[in-house]
Amino acid sequence: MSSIKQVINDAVEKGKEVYEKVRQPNPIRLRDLIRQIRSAKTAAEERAVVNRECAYIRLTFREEDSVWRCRNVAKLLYIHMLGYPAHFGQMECLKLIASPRFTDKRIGYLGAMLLLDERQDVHLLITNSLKNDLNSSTQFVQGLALCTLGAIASPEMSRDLAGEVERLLKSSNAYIRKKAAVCALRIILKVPELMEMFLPATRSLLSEKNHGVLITGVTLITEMCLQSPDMLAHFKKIVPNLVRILKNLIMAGYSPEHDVQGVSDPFLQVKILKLLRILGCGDSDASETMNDILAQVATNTESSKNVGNAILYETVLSIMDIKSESGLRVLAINILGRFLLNADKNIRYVALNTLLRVVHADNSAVQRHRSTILECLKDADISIRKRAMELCFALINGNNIRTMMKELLTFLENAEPEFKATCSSKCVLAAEKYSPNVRWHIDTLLKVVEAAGNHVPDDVVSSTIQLISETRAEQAYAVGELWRHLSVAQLEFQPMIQVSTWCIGEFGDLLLNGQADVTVEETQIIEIYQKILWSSQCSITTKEYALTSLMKLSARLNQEVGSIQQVVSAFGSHLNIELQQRGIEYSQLFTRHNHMRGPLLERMPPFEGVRGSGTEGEKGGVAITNGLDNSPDNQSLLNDLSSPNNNNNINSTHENNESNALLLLLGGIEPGEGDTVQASTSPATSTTNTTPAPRSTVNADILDLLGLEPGPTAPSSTTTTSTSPAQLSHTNNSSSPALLLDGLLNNTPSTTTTTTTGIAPLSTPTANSTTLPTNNFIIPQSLSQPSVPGIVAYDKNGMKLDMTFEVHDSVTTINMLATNTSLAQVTDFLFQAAVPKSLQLQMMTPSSTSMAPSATLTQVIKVNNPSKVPLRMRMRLSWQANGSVVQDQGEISHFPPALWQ
Amino acid sequence: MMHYLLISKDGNVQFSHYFTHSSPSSHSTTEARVIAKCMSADRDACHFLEDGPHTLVFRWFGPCMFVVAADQSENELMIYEFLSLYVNALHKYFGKFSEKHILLNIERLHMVLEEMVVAGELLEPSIRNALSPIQMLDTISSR
Repeated sequence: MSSIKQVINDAVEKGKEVYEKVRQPNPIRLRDLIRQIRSAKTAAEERAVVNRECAYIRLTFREEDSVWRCRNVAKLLYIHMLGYPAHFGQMECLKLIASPRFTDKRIGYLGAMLLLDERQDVHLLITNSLKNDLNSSTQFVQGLALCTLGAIASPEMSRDLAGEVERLLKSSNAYIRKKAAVCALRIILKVPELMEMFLPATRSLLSEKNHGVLITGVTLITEMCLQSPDMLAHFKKIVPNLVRILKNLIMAGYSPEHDVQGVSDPFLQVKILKLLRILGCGDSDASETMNDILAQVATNTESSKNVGNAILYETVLSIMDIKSESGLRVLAINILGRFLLNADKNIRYVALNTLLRVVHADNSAVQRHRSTILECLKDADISIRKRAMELCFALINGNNIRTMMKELLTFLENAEPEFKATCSSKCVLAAEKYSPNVRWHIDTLLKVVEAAGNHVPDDVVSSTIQLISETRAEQAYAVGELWRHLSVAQLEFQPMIQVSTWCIGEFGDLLLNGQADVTVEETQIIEIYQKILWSSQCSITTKEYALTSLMKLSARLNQEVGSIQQVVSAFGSHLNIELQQRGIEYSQLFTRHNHMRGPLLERMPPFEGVRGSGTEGEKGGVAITNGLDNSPDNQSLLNDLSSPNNNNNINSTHENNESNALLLLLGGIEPGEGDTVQASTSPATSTTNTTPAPRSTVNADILDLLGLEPGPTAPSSTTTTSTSPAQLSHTNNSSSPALLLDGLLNNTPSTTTTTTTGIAPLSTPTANSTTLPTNNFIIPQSLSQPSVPGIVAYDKNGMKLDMTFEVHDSVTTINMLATNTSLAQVTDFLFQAAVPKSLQLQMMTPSSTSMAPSATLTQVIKVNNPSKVPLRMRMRLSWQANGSVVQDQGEISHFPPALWQ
Repeated sequence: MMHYLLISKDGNVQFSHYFTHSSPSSHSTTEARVIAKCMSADRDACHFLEDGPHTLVFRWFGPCMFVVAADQSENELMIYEFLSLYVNALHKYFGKFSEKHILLNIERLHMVLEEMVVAGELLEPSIRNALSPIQMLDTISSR
């Protein structure tokens, strides 16, 4: 009883305490609040303290208490930093800024900087306060306002206050000038049009003695040069000034004010070197002027300290970027060689980074350091290993591929998961480009797939499969190797199993008839497949591979067909809908349609010319028609495109309900859809397509099976079965029906995108890699391309634009494929175009605005040309790479005349 | 261009200053990720890490870790040097700078930083020039 009483008393006491605290005349000080918060033992306790304080602060804000406003805002800033919401203090900050007291102003501006963000309505209010303070007579007030403007300027604010900033940029006070220069920098970043306005004042910044003004001036000029080519041309003439400033810095004796570890103002030196690099890039006159000073910096700078190395690093970059003398370049590469051997990991990292940036300018010089770079692959440091890996791939060429690949495979095996995907993709690319022979190529790809375990990206799996598929001579070898892998495989690594099952399914007969250099019993194969299919470690995708592969094997094996049937039919009740569907479809092929099982499971035609499409954009992608698709969008799109002979097709199939019934059985589609599927070539091709291509009897048999009567409908049925005549002549005739039916059989739900890519000659490479292996139906892109040849519209600055065309009456559809051929990530890609007045232009949204190195994006441009005038186009390109904006413009006048004739 | 500067002790963020704008709601997740990333590196490892479009440059001063996120085109070694410039400035300003100053004088840290970096660009390479206006304002305010 007494304890309950005590508890109640305690609670009352506590309540009083809180009440007093809330009512107390003087709010607690910031450091007391910090102590309270720091002494909180749990997150909940901390939250309670913060909430109580916030409630109190709100209360005083409401009471318009101006005496403690400053202290309260300071506390709020602390609370904000801890991650609690503090936006309710924004207005109080504005009130503080308006106060005449310095203490209040300082906290007010600090609060504005931390609490406001660009999208606040309070910006209008703060713009007024800033304007007042920028016109103040006290330099500190001006300084505070400039700092804040530099931190929070929005485009509107920039426009409103640019005039004030420009005036202050001409101030005689160095303290104000340097801050105004940074504000100007922020303003031109937000509103590039305002650049012109600052130009005269900017130029005079360089004649200043104060280092703060010099450094901000150089930064501002650098930004202007990066933003506009006109500015770049304009500032070429300041190169001698910069050289002189730099020379004075090096020659100057010890000045305590700017000395850092014995180097005179390294910060300014680095900024000047960077600006020189931008001004001298591609300009031999400017480069000539800088040669001497760069050599001087490179030889005179002390390299035992971090600052010295920072300057040397910047110097090397400048030497490699401008048109410098060859002796100087040797010097630069030697400095990097020294860096690579440095004990300090930061320096080693920087060396690798720099080598990566200059490797394209001077590959042979970098090659000299190859062994050191390979050593770095084994470094314990993750940043160094990553850079070393990237550099190794840049260094691979036909002569060193064997040794390099050996090292890289060892690296891949032990690498962190985050490296494995990129590393294996790049290995595949390098092997494709430089492999000395096919056997080595296959071996390498298999090793890559094995070493990268489950981190193999899909495009590596498909590249490997494609390589094996297209090299007939090595198939037996490959399938033997894969069998060796599979028979001892740990089932946890999916990609290897996928490649193995696909190949064994296709080329299982080679395995059995002894060509593959291994002896295999049919029962062994079935055993392994059963293990895969019923293993809980294998993914659904792997099982899909395995099931289709097993089905294919039923046409390759002799004795074990019965047990295959058993396994396959067991999948008719599988929990996964995809596997279940396959199971049921395939068991139908054993029973009702057993007579067509053989031809249906024929070997796939080789995937010629599509390898590497996943990563190498300029080769063009593969067009995949994925068989049937139930999406209405897609259906109408297909109808649109194939309108010239679509009706004909529909007639032909509608006559044959039986065939639809079969299609229904095979693919679960609605009648009338099968006809349009194959018409995915552009109309131009379909119309030229009506002459029947030579068909083998097997083909005819299959058509017969489908119920298509030869005779009057024959021409159109050819268009239905074969995408283009070229395809029939290209591939083995006897296999084309299998091709068709494979297409029909594969009715996976995720086909919308792939089928549409099949229509546009430009397919997105990523889509390929995911759907390629399971669908087993591929048409090389080159074959489905329209008759008008494509052009390369642009190929500079690490950006390549390919254009392909489709003509439909007066409308030309231009499919543009942009490829990032540089090593840098490209963002904010923007393509603008203009055409002569008699034409109409319509730009579609691009597939993306950013590209990883060697990735691609697509954009569709429609041009209506009713009067059939020759097509010309002015274009403007801009994108961001390495943090700087690249801009270029030009005219495309080499469009193929077929577009308007 | 630098984007933000963090000071962390024992894995907690003690101080953060953003030079360029990012939405405040994303701050705490960014900070947690960055700190975890830098803490996981060995003491003698390379002090530069990649973080999306930025390079993280971190440096230990006693128990405190200073981190700057900068554009990838920035000179990493120079940013590394800037961190020591900033700490030296704090030393000079506070007499002897220690982690308790971070706790108790957080607004001063902001002010010193503001005199050295605005809009992510270095404003003043000389410590004396950077500190003199602050000290001047301090005297005016205390009157």
